[in-house]
Amino acid sequence: MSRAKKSIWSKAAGQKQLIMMALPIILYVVLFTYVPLWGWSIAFQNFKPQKGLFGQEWVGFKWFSMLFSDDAFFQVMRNTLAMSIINLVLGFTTSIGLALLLNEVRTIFLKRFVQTVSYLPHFLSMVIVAGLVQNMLASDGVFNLILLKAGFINEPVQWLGKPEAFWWIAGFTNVWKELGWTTIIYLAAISSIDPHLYEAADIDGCGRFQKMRHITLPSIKPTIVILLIISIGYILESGFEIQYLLGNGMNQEYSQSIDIYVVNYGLGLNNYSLATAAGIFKSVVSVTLLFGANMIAKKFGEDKPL
Amino acid sequence: MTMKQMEVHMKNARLGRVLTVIAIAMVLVGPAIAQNNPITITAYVSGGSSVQPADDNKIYKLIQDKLGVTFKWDIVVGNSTQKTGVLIASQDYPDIMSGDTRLIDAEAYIPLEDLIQKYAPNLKKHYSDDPSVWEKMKAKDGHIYILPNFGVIHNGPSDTAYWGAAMWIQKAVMKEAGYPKIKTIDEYFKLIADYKAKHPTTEDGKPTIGFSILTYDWHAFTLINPPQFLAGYPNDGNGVVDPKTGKYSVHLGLDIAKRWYKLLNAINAKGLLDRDSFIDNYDQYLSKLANGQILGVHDQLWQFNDSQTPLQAQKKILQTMMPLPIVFDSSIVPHYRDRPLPNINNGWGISVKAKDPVRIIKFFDAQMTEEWQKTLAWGIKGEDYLLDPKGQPYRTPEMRKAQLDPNWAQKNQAAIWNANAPKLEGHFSDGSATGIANNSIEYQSTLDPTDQAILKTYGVASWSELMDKSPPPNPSWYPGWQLTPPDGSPAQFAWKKANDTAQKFLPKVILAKPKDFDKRWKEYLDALAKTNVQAYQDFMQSGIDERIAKFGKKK
Repeated sequence: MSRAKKSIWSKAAGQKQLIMMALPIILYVVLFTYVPLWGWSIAFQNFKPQKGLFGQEWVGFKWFSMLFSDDAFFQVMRNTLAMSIINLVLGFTTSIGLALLLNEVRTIFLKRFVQTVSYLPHFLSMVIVAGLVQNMLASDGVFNLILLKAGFINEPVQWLGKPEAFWWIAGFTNVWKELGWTTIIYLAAISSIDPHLYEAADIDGCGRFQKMRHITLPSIKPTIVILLIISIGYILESGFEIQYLLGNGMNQEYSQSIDIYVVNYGLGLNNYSLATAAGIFKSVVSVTLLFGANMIAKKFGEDKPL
Repeated sequence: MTMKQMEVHMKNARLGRVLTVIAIAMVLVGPAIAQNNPITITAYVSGGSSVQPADDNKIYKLIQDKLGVTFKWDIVVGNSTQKTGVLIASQDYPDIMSGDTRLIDAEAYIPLEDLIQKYAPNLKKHYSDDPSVWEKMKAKDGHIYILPNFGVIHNGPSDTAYWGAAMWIQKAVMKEAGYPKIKTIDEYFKLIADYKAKHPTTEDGKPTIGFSILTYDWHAFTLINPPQFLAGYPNDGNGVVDPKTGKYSVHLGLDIAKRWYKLLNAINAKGLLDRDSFIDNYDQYLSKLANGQILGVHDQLWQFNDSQTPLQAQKKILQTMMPLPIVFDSSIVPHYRDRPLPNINNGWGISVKAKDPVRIIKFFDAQMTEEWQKTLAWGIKGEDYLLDPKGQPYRTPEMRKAQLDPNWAQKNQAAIWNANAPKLEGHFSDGSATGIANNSIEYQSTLDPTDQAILKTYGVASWSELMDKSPPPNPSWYPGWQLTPPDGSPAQFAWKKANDTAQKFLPKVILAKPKDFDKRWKEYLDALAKTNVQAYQDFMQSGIDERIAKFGKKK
């Protein structure tokens, strides 16, 4: 026992410099990531800011039981998950798709042009994007006009007043805004593929689609899987801005995400305890999902999961 | 003189002694100078006007020169609920904040009654001339935190404009029908329907909209408030109070509400209702009004006045709205207009983080003199108004025109300060009405000939009179809307839920096919029953009982 201890210490002494180098980062992580977790205690108190840190009244799991007995909370969880999954699936398929297509474009100018145009919306503020969407979906907006002229509908539809349409409005808005941006990383991955592979495939008589399927996609698989794992960690962050900006009384049943709930019922009603309880629950679900994704990644044969 | 300069001088001992004497003298004289020592007051404003004043605003400049006060504004644009929540969480309060019950609950304001007693004779006189005002200003714990901005009247009320709740109708609609005297909601909708049939578009070619509802964010009370007025009740805060028993009922699911939404459902089937009501935001609502597209709304003028001024500036008087005291049946006595009452919980309060509350309250007091009140309300004599030989204020046509220009106002009016500041209302000691527009020369002349003619047709002198010539005395509990449940209470949560439910289900009720109305209404009632709205009702009942116990049943 004592020998083992000794060996650890002597090992540490041998790595003095490394430890010294790591120390600031460890301090940073502890200070900014773990110390604030103390704030979670608010969820178990009847928190009133003016009472200070130590004068609070403890109420146990009151806020959690309030959350779980509120029908709206499950609606909110459902919306968050649904919008996240829609974002995830749409985001991945469209950006990988665009990357594959762009990779096949032979005119460099056209490729660059499409790339630039498609990632410009990324730099727009969500407030502006929401304004555009609101205008396009208005009763006298472009979307309704096209549908009317094409004869699909007889009278304008209040798209933002249709609760069940909201998930898709949010999803496609996100795709429009972020498509070009997320494509960049796949294009980078594709460009690092060894050209010999393609040449070999040419000699073997592969067509374009076969090359895509058997060379490009397998080669960028590690990138896809890592990005997937990272995104799943954020799956409950389906966003706040777009739901906040496009949500209204009529579509609240489908537009309220967990963050909106926290703002409305937590900050909005000065109920910081309830807000914190909802936040903790969200973190727990996120961590569970992350481990789940990691396991799936292992099964997919990625030998270096995070 | 800085410490460093002092140190350098102290090397010379003799000079040092002289300086000590000066320093002592300064300390002794200090308080007298401190009266007007320059100070910067940081202010948080939520709700109401949201336009930053121009840097060279002349009134603020005058305040700075004469009273030594410079303002730094933090004006909330859009949803104030969250911004205020964040403010409370951070505890990073500015010096003064506009009134908010949530800030009171968070103990963000300091009690003002002692400060007023000691340092503010003008404020004291203003608020305690009528002892019941002073009583009503007190929060539950017996302290005064907010200085009401409106409704403390001296020397008799003088209001002519009508800012309150009403069924508003575009003047063009009334003109088309030959200015009939209408009383019931059916007549009201019929006028609108007739007009819309004849004029499907405005002059600019935009489609006319029969009836619109503002449902955005907290403004959505215009969706749920009409039934109480239509049934002849005053605005008692999300419910009605039985005048005989004092029993309070939340109005969301009452029969009078059903009757109103059924009417809306019917006009929707006729294509009179603005279907975008439920997805538009506040700005979209205002712009439709400013385009003259909307023929009728239920609202309170202060909430949509910003849409009327551009129309007035363009001389499109017929496209502006006029108020009507509409009720369900001609047997019901309308109770829209109420007697002025102190606007409790609205106005400035001084925050716990204010460095020099005494200096601030002294400034509040200084601006309460009649001279300053005239400057703040009327502007600068010779520039913004003139006096006739009898001492009555009036404006030249150019001055009047300038008043309507928002850009001019930004440079020449202290609008944001005024909106929340304690102010003299009614009449000044020289007999002139405190609002310049309420003085006879000004009132007659600011009325467009069109408006004058309309008022003459109805045989009244002002819009207020059109609503109600002599409103009945306010019941002792009135107004119930001043009661708000404390933070974290079940009543607060219950109301939020009930309100969310109403906002979610009422659009469905209203937009349903007429044959589905009853089904949708039942769904709404079922959802409402699940919200524990009883907790809110109990809270309101106890508040009203408390007031009845304190002030008796009638005032």
